[in-house]
Formats: sequence, C-alpha cells, structure tokens
Amino acid sequence: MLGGLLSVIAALAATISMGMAGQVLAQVNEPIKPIPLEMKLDERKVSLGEKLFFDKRVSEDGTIACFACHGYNTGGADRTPLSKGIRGQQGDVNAPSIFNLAFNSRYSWDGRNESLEDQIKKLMVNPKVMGTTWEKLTARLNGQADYAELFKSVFGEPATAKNIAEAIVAFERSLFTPNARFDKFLRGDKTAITEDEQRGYQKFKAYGCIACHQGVNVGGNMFQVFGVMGDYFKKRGNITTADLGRFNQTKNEADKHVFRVPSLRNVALTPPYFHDGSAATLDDAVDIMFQYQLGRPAPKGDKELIIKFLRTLTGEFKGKPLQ
Amino acid sequence: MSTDVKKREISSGMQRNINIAIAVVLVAILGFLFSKTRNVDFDAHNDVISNLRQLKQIDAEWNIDVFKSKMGINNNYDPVAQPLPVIRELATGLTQKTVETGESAELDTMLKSFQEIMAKKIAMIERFKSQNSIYRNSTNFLPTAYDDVIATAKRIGLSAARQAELEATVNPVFSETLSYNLTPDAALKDKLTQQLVTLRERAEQYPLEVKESIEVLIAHIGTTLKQQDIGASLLNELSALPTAKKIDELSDAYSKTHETRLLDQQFYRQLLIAYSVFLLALLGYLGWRLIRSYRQLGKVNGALTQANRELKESQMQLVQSEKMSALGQMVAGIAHEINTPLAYVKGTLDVMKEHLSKVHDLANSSHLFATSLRDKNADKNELNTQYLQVATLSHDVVKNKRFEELDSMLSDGTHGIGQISEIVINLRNFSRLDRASVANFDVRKGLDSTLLLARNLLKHRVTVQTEYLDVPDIMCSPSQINQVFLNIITNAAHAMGEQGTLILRTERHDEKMIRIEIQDDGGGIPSSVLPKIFDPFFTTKPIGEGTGMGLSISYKIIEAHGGKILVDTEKDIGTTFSILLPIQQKQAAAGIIEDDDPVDLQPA
Ligand code: HEC
Ligand code: HEC
Repeated sequence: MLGGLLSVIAALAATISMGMAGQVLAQVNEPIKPIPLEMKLDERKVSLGEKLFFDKRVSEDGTIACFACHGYNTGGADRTPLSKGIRGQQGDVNAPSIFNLAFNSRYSWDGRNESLEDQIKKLMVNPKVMGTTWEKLTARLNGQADYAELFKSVFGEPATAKNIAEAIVAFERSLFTPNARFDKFLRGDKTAITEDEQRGYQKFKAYGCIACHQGVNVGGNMFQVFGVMGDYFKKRGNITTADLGRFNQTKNEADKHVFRVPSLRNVALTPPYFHDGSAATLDDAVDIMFQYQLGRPAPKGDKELIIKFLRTLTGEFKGKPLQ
Repeated sequence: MSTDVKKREISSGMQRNINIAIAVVLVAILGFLFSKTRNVDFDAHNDVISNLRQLKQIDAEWNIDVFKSKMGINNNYDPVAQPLPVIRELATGLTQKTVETGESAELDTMLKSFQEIMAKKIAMIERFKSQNSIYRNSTNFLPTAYDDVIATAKRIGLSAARQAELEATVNPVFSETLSYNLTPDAALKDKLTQQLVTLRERAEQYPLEVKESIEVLIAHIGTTLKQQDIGASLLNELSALPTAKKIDELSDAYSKTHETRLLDQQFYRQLLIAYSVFLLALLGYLGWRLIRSYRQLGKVNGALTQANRELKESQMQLVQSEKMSALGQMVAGIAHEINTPLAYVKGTLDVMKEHLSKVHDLANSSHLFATSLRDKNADKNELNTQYLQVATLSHDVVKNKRFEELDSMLSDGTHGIGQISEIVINLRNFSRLDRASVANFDVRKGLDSTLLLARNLLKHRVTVQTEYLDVPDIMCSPSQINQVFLNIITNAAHAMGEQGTLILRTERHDEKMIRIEIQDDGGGIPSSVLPKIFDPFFTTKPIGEGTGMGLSISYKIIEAHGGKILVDTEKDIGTTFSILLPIQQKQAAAGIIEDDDPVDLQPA
C-alpha cells in the first residue's frame, strides 16, 4: 500500500517538475514506455536458440525454418496475409512479428498462450506450422553431431522438449528493438521526432488509440473485442473459427471476437495487418480501427498524422534501424 | 553322503534363509523409521512460506494497480499485466513444493481452491483491463464528441435557433453523463437511458452530418453507461475475491501440516531410538552368543590341534621307523656285501701269515748262520747244523714257492679291499645325493645304485633285466626317489619268492614326463588287497617285518613331486609299478616329506 502511494506521489512529482522544467526531462508519465536498451540473457542459450531458429531441420519435412515466417528483413513477420507452413499448407492467421515478444503478457492473436514456452510447445506440433512431434524433434536433434554437442555443452544433457524450448525462448527474448525514434523522444530527445509526428502522437492519444495500444509494446498487454463500436466481422463476412478469437479457448460468449491488442512496435514494417491479414496497408488498418474500435470515421489529416507517428515506432536491431 | 547329513544340510540352508529374511526385515524397519525422521523438509517448507508471502504481496500490489488504473493514475496496463507471469511461476512453484514436502488431501483441496480463485481473478482483471480502457476512452472522448456535434451544426450552417435548440437538447444529456460518471447512481442511469432514447429520436430531425455526430455521441454515452456498470460489478466481484484470505489460510494450513509433521517426526525419532536400543540389545545378545560359541570352538579346536599334533608325531615316528627298517635291510645287505670280500681278505691274510712265519724262520736261521761264519772260534759242527737248517728252510721257501704265493695273495687281498672300497664309494654316492634335497637326477643311476643296495635280497634267485631308454635328468629329491625305488624293488623281491625276473624300464612318457617301470613276475596283488596298498599301515607282511608305510610313503613322495604311481597287476603273471615323474618341478619341491633330517650315510 505504501509502495503504491509512493509511486503515485513520484508520478505526480514528475508531472509537476516536467511542467516546470519544460522539455528537457524525459517524458516520464507517457502511457507509452521506451524499450529497455539492454536485457540480461544467457548468451549460450541464445545462440543455440538462434541456430534452431534458422534451421530447417526443425520442421518435420525439413523444408521450413522459423525464419521463413519471422524474417528480420520483414519486421519479424512475413508480409503475406496468411502464412504457409510445411507442405505449403495455409495457416489460419497472419504471422505476427517475432520482435519484442518479451514485453507482451499474452501470446498469439487470441492470447491463448500465457508464456513463450507454452507457445513454442504448441507451435512445434501444429500440423500446419512445423508439423513434428517433440519425440521426433528431440530424437532428430540428438542424432545430429552438431546439436548433440551443443546441447551437451549448453545444458549438460541431450536435447529435451524442455531445453529446446528454453533455448528458443531465450533467443526470442534477445530479439528486441530499442532506440526507436519515438523512444528517443520519450527519453527526452525532443528533436528525435518531427512536429507532425508529435502531433500524430497527440492524435493517437486524443482519439483513444492509446486506450488499447499502450505500455512498452504499444499493445500486447490486454484483450479487446475486435469491433467494440461496430461489427467488423459482419461487414467483412465469411467468418472462420480463427475469427472467434479468445472464445475458442474459453467458450465464453463474451469472448467472441476478442483478441489480444497487438503491439504496434515496428508496425510500419509488418503489413498486411490484423489476424486475418485483411488490411493491406497501415492506412486501411487505421481506418478500420477508427471505425470499429473508436466508432467514428477517421478525419483524413489526423489519420495521416497518426500513421506518421506509427512509423516512429520502428526500432533498431543490434544497433541498426530495422528495414 | 548319508541321507541324514543331507537332511541336516537342507535344514541348515533353510535356517540360513530365515535368518537372512529376519535381518532384512529388521533393517527395513530401521530404514523406514529413519526415513520417517528425515521426512520433514525445512527448506521446502520455508520456500513454500516465503512463496506464499510473495504471492500475498504481489496480490496486494496488484489490487492497488488495478485501483490506480481504475482511477486513471496508471496510464498504461503494463503494471497490471506484469504480475501475471510472476503469479503463475509462484503458483506452479507452490504446487511443486507441495508435492515435494508431501501432499495431504486437505492441502491439495485448499491449493486447488486457491488456484481456482486466482484463475478467476486473472480472468476478471483481463476483463477489467478491456472494460476500463474502453470506458475511459469513451469518457475521455465525450467532450470531443459533444464539441463535434456543436461544431458540425455550426459548420453546415444550421440556423442559430436550431443550434440553440440542439445545444439545449444535447447539453443536459452530456452533463448528466459526466455527473453520472463521477457518482454512478441507478436513478440517474434510468433517467439518462430515457434521455438517450429521446435524443436518438430527435437526431432524426437534423441533417445527416449532424445526425451522425449525435449518434457518435450517443454511442459513446451508451458505452460509458454500459462499461460503468460492468466496471462497477467487476470491481465489486474483484474485491469480493478472497485471494488474500486464501493465501493466509494456505499459510496456516502449511504451517499446521508442517507442525504435525514435526510432531510425527518427533514420535518417529523416539520410536527410532527405542528400536535402536532394541537392536543394540539384540546385537549384544548375538555377540555374547558368538563369543560363547567361539570359546567352545576354541576348546574343540585346541583338542583337535593336540590330536593332530600327536597323530603327526606318531606318523613321523612311523616314517622314521620305516626308514630305519629300510635302512636296516640296506645295512644288512651292505654288511653282507662287505663281509664276503672281507672274509676273503682275512683268509688270504691268514694264509700269508702262515707263509710269512716260514720266511721269518728262514731269515732268523740265515742271520744266525751268517754271524757264526764270521766267528773264528765257531764250532764246525755247529756251523754244519746251521747250514743244514738254512738249506732246508730255503729249500722249503723256494720249493713251496712261498714268495710267489705271498705275491698272489697280496694281489688277492688288494682285490678284496678294492671290492670293499667299491661298495663304500657306491654308498657314498647314494648318500651324497642326500645333501642337496632337490637336484638334477638321472633315474637310471638311481635304479642302479638301488639294485646294488638290494643285491643281497636279489642275489641268486632273481634275474635283473634293465631296459633303459634314454631319459633326461629330472628335478627331484634323489634320496626320496631312491627310497621309492628301493621300496618297490624290495616289495617285488618279496613277491617273487624263490625264482623270478625283475625288469626295470625307463622311457620318455611325453613332453613333460618320464616313465619308470618296475615289473616282477610274482603272484600279483589280489584284487581284495589292491585298493588298500597305498593306505598307511597296510601290510601283508608278518608283524615286525614291515611297517605298512612303505607304499603309502612312496605314494606321497611321488605325489609331492607332481608325479603318479600306477599299478598293473595280474594274478600269477606279475605286477608292474609305473612311476610317472615330471622333468621339471613347478616349484622347488623341497621337503617332500617334511620330517627328513636325512640320515647321513657318509662315513665319518
Ligand atoms: C508457417 C509460418 C510460421 C513458421 C514457420 C513459424 N511461425 Fe511463428 N507464427 C506464425 C503465425 C501464423 C503465428 C500466429 C499464430 C496465432 O496467433 O495463432 C505465429 C506466432 C508465433 C509466436 C507468437 C508471437 C506473438 O506475438 O504472440 C511466436 C513466439 C512464434 N511464432 C515463434 C516461432 C518460432 C520460434 C518458430 C520456429 C520454431 C516459428 N514461429 C515458426 C507463423 C509461423
Ligand atoms: C478498443 C481497443 C483498440 C483501440 C481503441 C484501437 N485498437 Fe488497434 N487494435 C486493436 C485490436 C484488438 C487489434 C487486433 C485486431 C485483430 O487483428 O484481430 C488492433 C490492431 C491494430 C493494428 C494492426 C496491427 C497488426 O500488426 O496487425 C493497427 C495498425 C492498429 N490497431 C492501430 C490502431 C490505431 C491507429 C488506433 C487509434 C485510431 C487503434 N488501433 C485503436 C484494439 C484497439
């Protein structure tokens, strides 16, 4: 209780001092927080996870690696509406970015996975993605001299479902993109983003995008109905199981069409948008958001400003701006 | 083995199994009691308690963060989302630790109910986040939406009167919504709902753009009302969720089980001590019994050792007396051997003495005659008689060829002495071999000197044939091997009685062994006797003639050399003893029959 009170006071004090001192101080009380510049990780696990991430041998038929759907050059996603897994099978949803997962509190579009470990466990055996089984995968990896040795040296034991997941998750956590221009702005560099972009941010807040897309990841920390202020799915038609969202897991009527609010980090790099990959451009996506999440049409100028702001969320990976 | 002995063995085997089973049970009980005293895992218990404490703290902080979000103090939901993985980790840790410290049904249900409530809380907070953000969004948006309505009306050039009328219609709804948001009140809500219906109807009267902006406002007011309700009931439910209470209960329950376990442990510890005392007593009793039976065993052992020593002594005496008897026979033989040339030499010497007395006489009378011849006063007659005497005596010496006789007798005597010295040399050879107890030995020489010693026994009645094939020297104790030969040859001689042929053979048996055969053509060994011939004390000879140890000792000697004695016998045809002896000894086979301080046969 005391801790809570103290933090309230601290926040208030910061707001006041910011008001007094002008722009020099970091923007401490913004609803969006910068991505930390560093993270502590076990480098050996990370590099083993990296090897697995780029290795086609991980998939059942040896044709596909994680990288195929989560490319570094495509914002950590794959720029196709619905990703194709092994044997060319089309998935049910759009591939989300592999970047900045550490700052999400739920995983997958419908948020069914509470942790990255849960996610990887299901992903491997998903017949439309990797299509393998853990027995097969561990046997296969242990049969390969390079992996047998790596697992031995990193974990002191042969590959198991648990340590494979551990390595991949460690690697996933290493994929974060700090130093977006907007983060620099948040850290106090007023010139890091343009006037327009700042205005875009003000609009983003004023129109209420910020109600759902907030926090370090500009999303990723809550559930929302897709279509709060209107029926998106009725308009789009052709409803699939995936469209039912969280309902698929909870079977609770109230969870129909409920999705995890996605992170908007690097959003400019990951078209098409939405779980169904239906919005080809940011413009389309923001339009739909205005209409169905905010219940109002998007004034053109404001929308453009918002899109300008969204582009400032593109960060750096290993010191280089993502493309 | 008699059936009795068998039975005894079987029952002792069973006894052993039962003993082992009892020991296993005793140790198992000990192990069980011991494990019961180890049962309380303090670390795990402390972990559980600190885990619960953390959970409680996080839960409390979580409540505050929810409240701050509700009040708009938190402007993002990261603080509300972040406890999730921590809570999950703590909860799984709790389950694991509960399993580790040992489950109890009560704890299990409590843990389950706690987890259910926690899951409910997590789900509720998810809902709260969704609800609160939409609610706050709409609330925040209301002024903008209201301004929008007014601005649109102005923009499309609605008449001032209609603008005023519009404002008068929208404004109360707007401001009452604001006050409802501050103090939600059921009556006000009913009123507002009513007003919204009216507003929607009125909106129809305005141009499209104005109508649309009114509808956005209505939608957000609707959202506000709805979400306010949901939010209020959510928060009510949330605050009613007894997570903290559950955590406290869990803590209590854990502490209680821990205490019961401690008591249990104490009980088992006491039991363990009692049991240990019992085991110690048992061990003491067993030890006492063991010592007692050891003592008995010691006594019996002493008696047995004594008996054994006596037996050994008497055996040694017997061996000695056997050796003496063999020696006696040998000595008799040797005496006889020496006696013959000795008598001969003596006879010769007697005759020589006779001859020499004549020569002595001649010498005396010659001396007398010579002295008288020199004497001038000598009497002629006297001289004459003296001459005659010399003449007679010298005639006798010459005529009877006394000097030639003496000469030949001397050489006869020398011959006889030569024979004696030959025997002595033989004896010396026989005995010299005794000096080194193990030596390279030509068994043919052994057989020959044995024959020589036994000559007396064999002479005149037994024809000896030797059929020696070339054999290498063997490593052995020559005196002992000779003793064996002497023994078997002596037996053979006895077996053959009046007349017979003794055949001695040597040959190479194989790579490693040589073979010696001693064959007689005596009456053979009866089959009733055959199995016993190597038994100690067995003899067919009259009492006093043999100890019955001869063949038994021979058998031992050959066995100790790593060899074999085989007997092949046939009634009325004869007996063949075959001795197989290894050429090399595996180890220096000294002291084959231990008592031997060898009888020194060498003349002093
Ligand atoms: C066939 C294309 C494909 C491949 C290959 C693939 N993924 Fe994905 N990935 C997806 C799709 C589609 C989703 C979204 C699934 C959903 O939400 O239901 C996804 C989701 C994820 C997520 C959750 C992201 C989030 O924001 O919640 C992670 C993590 C992830 N993948 C990691 C991996 C890893 C690691 C591999 C390799 C072992 C991999 N993926 C291989 C298509 C792919
Ligand atoms: C009520 C909550 C809510 C509000 C308000 C909201 N969004 Fe969203 N946003 C979502 C949800 C939920 C999704 C995911 C929908 C899906 O694909 O299933 C989403 C998806 C998006 C996407 C696509 C992301 C991707 O990677 O596919 C963009 C871009 C986006 N929102 C931008 C905005 C903007 C700009 C605003 C303000 C105009 C906004 N959102 C307001 C909940 C919201």
